[in-house]
Amino acid sequence: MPENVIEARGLTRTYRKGPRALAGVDLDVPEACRFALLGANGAGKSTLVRILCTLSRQDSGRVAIAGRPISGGSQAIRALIGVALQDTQLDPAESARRQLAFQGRLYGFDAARAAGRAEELLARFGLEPVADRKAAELSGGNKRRLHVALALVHRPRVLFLDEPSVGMDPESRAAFWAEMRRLNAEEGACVFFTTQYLEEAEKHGDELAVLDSGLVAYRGTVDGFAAAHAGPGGDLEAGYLNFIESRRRGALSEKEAVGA
Amino acid sequence: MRNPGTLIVGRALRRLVSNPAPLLSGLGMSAFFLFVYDAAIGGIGFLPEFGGAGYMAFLLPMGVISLLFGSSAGSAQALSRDIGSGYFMRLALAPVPRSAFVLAAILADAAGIFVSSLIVLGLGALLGAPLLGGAVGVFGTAALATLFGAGISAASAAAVMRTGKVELAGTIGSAVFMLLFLAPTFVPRELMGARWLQVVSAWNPLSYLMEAMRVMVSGLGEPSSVPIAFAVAAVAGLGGTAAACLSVRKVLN
Repeated sequence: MPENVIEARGLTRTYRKGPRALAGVDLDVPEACRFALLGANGAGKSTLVRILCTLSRQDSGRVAIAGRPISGGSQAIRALIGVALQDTQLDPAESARRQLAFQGRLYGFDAARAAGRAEELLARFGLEPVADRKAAELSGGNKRRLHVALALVHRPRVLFLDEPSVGMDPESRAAFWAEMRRLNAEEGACVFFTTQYLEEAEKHGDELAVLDSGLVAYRGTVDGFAAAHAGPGGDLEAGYLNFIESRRRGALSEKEAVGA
Repeated sequence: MRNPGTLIVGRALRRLVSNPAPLLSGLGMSAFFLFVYDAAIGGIGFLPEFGGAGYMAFLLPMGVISLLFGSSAGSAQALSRDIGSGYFMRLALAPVPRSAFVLAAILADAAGIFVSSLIVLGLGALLGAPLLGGAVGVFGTAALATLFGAGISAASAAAVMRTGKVELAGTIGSAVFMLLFLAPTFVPRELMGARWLQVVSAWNPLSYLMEAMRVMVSGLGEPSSVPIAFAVAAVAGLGGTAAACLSVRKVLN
């Protein structure tokens, strides 16, 4: 049994003047797996990712990444993780090449190594022709590629991707997922991603969790989930829709029982 | 391997150079005030209360202080641009203390203020102020302005990070600017007509800053104001910086 690279216990988070985003999330994610986090809008996916990658704090509960509790020193954890959130995080005034090199330097690379790694990622993400353009001048798809490439500069052990392929054209999307599979297979990185595209989760995830109303409603393998909820020959999408529908019905009948 | 701190400060300085508007507006405001006030009321400089060094020698600290109100907005504007583009989030994910990015922006402002102060003092000398304190007086004055200016810069950065409103970048500077008119800026305390203004000026931290600068630059006034002014500037600098560093979490959460 592989070790867990992410361990979360009892995570809660309520936004001021807002809803309860997480209501007690328990989640284990094994090393070197491709993990899909599914859930409807507002289910708490982005909040969970932000807590796991040390950007937000939970109200209660605990998290450990690679065995290190986040509360015990998030700088050490940040050295282990790569993050590409839903909105791109680029310096609009700097070129792709300079941003990649600067990112490497922030992670302790010397100038030559940072420059070399920048060239490698520019080539891998097809950004060479626009490498010296300011990020503000890049197309939406290229911004997205650079955004993901920046998360990979330091060869993270865990890669958090929040809706990573939104805004990518089909070609970019295919190249992006091929790179994620390569990272996972060759470098052993755990790829933890949220997505609304269920075919992506089915194709590129080994394991998954479904968040619903701030709780983990399902945790298992992608194949197991489809088999359990889609019926014979059904795919993940059918399984997911059945699953959510049955939870809604369950919640409704619970309310009716309470009302009665 | 270069220290990430050097890298981060280097980036902040590059950004200051590529967006020099706050620095230039501070310098412009300062030069304008020096010219205009000297032209308007410079004739009173012969009065014995001005110490016999001419009105420009008395007025020059006002030029140094007033440049802070534009120049100290740079860090808040730079941080606001990073927050707006989302890049601040990217930086916050790097394995370095998050406050380093805020400190770097404040340090860049401080460097700009130091250089601008030297320029204003040079301008004052050209306009007739005798720099009797020599290099020690000039650099001491620039250091005092830098320390106090860093405090304003940091407080502006804290305000922008806490509220997310870039409009606040210049607000702290503007608030402090009003204190200029409640200090012995244009005439010494003993020539102030209203008693209440004398009382207010005694409590106004800018009074001590300007009096200390006059001592250091031109040898005018009481030397005892110098340590008080450095204490005031240190409190402003350290307090503002602490407030700015504590505001980082607000941006992320």
